[in-house]
Amino acid sequence: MKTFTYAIIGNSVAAIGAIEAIRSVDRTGSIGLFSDEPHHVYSRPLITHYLAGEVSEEKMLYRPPDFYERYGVQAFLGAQVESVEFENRRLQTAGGESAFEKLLISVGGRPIVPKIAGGDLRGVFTMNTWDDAREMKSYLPAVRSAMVLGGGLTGLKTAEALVEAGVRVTVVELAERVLSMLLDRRSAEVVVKQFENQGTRILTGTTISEIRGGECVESASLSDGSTAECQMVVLAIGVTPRLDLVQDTPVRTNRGIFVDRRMETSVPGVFAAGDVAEAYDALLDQNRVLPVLPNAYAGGRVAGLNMAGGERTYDLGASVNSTTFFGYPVVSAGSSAIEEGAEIIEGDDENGYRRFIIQDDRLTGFVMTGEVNRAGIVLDLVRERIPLNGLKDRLLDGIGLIDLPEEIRHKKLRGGTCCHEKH
Amino acid sequence: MACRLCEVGCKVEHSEHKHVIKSFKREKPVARLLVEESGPLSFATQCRHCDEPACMFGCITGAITKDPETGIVNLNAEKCIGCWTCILMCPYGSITRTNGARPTAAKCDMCPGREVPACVEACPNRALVLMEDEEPAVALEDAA
Repeated sequence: MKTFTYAIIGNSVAAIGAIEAIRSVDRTGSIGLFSDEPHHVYSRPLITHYLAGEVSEEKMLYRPPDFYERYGVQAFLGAQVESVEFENRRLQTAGGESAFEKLLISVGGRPIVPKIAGGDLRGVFTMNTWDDAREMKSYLPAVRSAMVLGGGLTGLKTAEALVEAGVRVTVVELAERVLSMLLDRRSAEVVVKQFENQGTRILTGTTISEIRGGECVESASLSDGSTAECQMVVLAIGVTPRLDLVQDTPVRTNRGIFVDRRMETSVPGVFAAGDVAEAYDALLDQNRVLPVLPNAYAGGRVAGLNMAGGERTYDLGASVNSTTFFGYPVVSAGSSAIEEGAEIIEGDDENGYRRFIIQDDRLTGFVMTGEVNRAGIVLDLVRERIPLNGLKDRLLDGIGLIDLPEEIRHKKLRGGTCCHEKH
Repeated sequence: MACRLCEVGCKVEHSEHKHVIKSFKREKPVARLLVEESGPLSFATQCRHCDEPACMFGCITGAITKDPETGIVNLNAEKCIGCWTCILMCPYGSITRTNGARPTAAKCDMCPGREVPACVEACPNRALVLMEDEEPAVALEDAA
C-alpha cells in the first residue's frame, strides 16, 4: 500500500492552491491527488464559456498539461474516493487503498436537484462539471428554446451561453430578483436589462412546476399556471457541499466541513478548502459556506502551507464576485445585497451603476457595473475597515491610492507585497 | 510632476507599431501603469509583482502566473476571458482593461526583452527607478 505525505481529494482550484503552496516549502514530500472526474485540472467557471463555443478544449485547462509532473503529483483521475478512515489515515478507491499523513478534502459542491414532475426526461440538465457542459453541448442541435431554473450566477451564465449558442432562453427565478445573494434590487435590474437587450425573458417570483414530454422535454409549466414550449431545462437553483465522505465520521460538519482559521477540520491533520468547506469569512467575522473561486484558491493555499508544517491563518475569505453578462461588467463584494440598515450611496451614469454600503463610517460592501477599473482599491477599503472620513464623498468619482490616508498609502506602496495573510 | 511620459512609454512599448505616432494614431494602446495626481502630489502606480498575488489567486482561467525564477507576475492575454476578477482582487488598482472587441486584462510585464522597463527609461526625473532583490521590484517615489 502506498503512503502519501499529502493526500488531496478533489482536483479543482483549492487542490491546486494547496499543491502550489506545499511545493513552495516542501519539494520532496509525496503528493497523491484523487479525483472522481477523469479530466486534467480545468477551470470550472469556464464550462459555460465552453458551452457557448468561446473557449477551446485546450483553453479549459486551469494549469498546463505537464502540471502534475512538474509538481511531483501522482494524480489518480477518474478514481473516486469511496471512503476515508480518519483514525487509521487511509482512503479507499475502487483501485485499492492508500495511506496518508495529511489530508485535504476539496471535493467541492454538487447541484441541488429539486423534485419536479418530469425531471427525469431527456433534455433536463444540471451545470456543474465539464462533462455536464459537453452533454448539453451535444444536445443543443435538438434545442430551439430552453428554460433555466435559477437566477443565480450559474443559472445566468448558463443562460448567457445558451443565448450565444443561438437558443431562445427563459430564466425562471423563485425569488423576487436575480442574484439575490449578491445584488440589491436596483443592481439586479441592471443585470436583467442586459438579458432583455438580447431578447431573453427573466421571470421572477415563479418556478417550474412540471416538465412535460414523451421521452424528451417538450414543454414546461410554471407555478403561475403558464406553459411554454422548450426542448431543454437547466436546473441551477444552487449547490451544496459534498459531505458524503465525512458523514458519520469524527469530522465536524455544519452546512459544510467546519474548518478553523488554519483550514484544519476537527480532526488534526485533516484539512478542507473550497466549496465543500465552511470557512472563515473575514468580512462577516464568522464561518460560512462561500463558494467563490478566489476563496477556494486562497483557502487551499493556506491549507497547503499548514499541511507542510507552516503556521498561516486564512483571512482572505470574503464574498467577492466579478463577471460579465454579454460583455457588461458586474462586480460586487461584501454586504452588496442588503437593502436597509445602512447608509447607501448610489450613482448611475454613462459609466454604469454603482452602489456603496456604509456602516459606522466604514464601507462594508459595494456594487460596480460598467466601469470597474480599480475596484480592488475599493475592496481593500472594505477588507481593511478603513474609516472613510472625507473619502465618502469621493466614492462615486472613483478612488485612487492617492485618495487614501497618507499612512495607509505609504504602507501599501512601500510595504509591497499584497494579500492580507499574516506572515 | 505628473508629466505622464511613463504612461506614453508604456503604451508605445505595448503596442504593435512601437512607434509613438503610429501607436497612438492607429491603435488604442492602454498604459499598464497610472499616474495619480492630487494637488501638488503625484506618483505612478503599477503592479507590485506581489509575493502572494491576489490577482493570481482570483484568476479563474489560470491566465495569471508568477514566474518562480524572476518573481514577475505575468498575464497571458490568450487565456484571459475578461471576467475582471483580477481587477477586483488587486488592492493597488494595477490591472486595467484593453480596448477593442474582445477586451482582456492587462498589467505590467516588466517589459520582457528590455534591460530597463520603458516607464523607467521615459521618466525625465528619475522618480521611477529599477531596483532588485528584497526591494520592491520597481520603487516608487512621491514626486511632491
